[in-house]
Amino acid sequence: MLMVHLSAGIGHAVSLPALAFIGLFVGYFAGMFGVGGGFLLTPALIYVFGVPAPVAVGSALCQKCGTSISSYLKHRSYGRGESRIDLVMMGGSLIGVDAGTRFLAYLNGLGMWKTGHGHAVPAVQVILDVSFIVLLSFTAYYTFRDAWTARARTEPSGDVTVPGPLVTKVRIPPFIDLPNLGLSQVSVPMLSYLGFFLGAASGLMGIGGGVLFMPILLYGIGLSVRNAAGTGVLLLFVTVAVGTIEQSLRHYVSLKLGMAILIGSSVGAQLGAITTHYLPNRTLRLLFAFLVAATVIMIAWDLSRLFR
Amino acid sequence: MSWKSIGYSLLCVAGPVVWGLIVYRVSGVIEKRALQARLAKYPDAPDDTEALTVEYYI
Repeated sequence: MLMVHLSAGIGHAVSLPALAFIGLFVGYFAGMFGVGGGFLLTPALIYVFGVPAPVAVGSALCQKCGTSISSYLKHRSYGRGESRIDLVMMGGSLIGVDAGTRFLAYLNGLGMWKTGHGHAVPAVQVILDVSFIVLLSFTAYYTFRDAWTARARTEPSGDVTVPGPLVTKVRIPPFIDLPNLGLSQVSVPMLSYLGFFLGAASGLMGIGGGVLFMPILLYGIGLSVRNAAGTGVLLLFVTVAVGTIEQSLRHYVSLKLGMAILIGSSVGAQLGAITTHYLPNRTLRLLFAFLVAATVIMIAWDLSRLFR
Repeated sequence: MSWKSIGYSLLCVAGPVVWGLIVYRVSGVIEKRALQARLAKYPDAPDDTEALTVEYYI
């Protein structure tokens, strides 16, 4: 069996074919739901393979360099999205990914925490678990709500841009007009802070931000589904590339691990994309919400196990 | 920070990027063939490559 030793981690070996299989699994759902799958990948690496949390985060970011570049080129060829949003958010995002990486290193340096029963648990894993639970609960709530309200709608929705609360209520100057998206007077500081938030999530949790960014673009800014899908992909690529370099310099990235997952996820994403042709949009949204909710339950169960 | 670790960091980005470019090219060819097959079967179908694909990997 092909095994890879985690040079950056504790030192145990992990099976490469098994990693490729988990990549296939994650890629399948990523391709089906149109997200990067980082929210599944990082917890899976930690809980299924016992990969140390910082190495799981770093290697997940490394894998995303490949998926995000192909996604960016594809969306660019279709002329979707608005790259000016990416450029405005990039400054905040790059500072954010640096902050997230430094915070991860700080958490890793905290060592072990003692529980009430005298067990020692890794502090970094506890903080990451709680972060995932908060983030994914937010996403699951909005997706469930959207899928539920969609039951009452008879006309197709989601393909038109309607300015959301982040555009209409956040009025901090200067502003930018985005005519390609049908938006005007969008607050630049709001976009920059949003970029910081997403970058920090990438650096800390190894997620590309799709699971967090999509609800914000759809429900916060109010973009249409097609434009939301093409927006932020350039930002994602630059953020994960910088994050990968930073994490690698801290010895948190295993290239073999990242590449094995990437190869599996490339195949899985194609299969997932084909599946979407056979399922209605509403069913996909509900399935996505259930998957996110199941991930939250799995992480919460694992967290409670650490303290038992 | 040694040159070796800097080189490894750059490789950690370059390796996945090269793979991503290969996937992009291969999936483009697959989509083109699927479109050609559809147009051969339904000559009146719209020439819409995008309709055959899904926005994966946001």
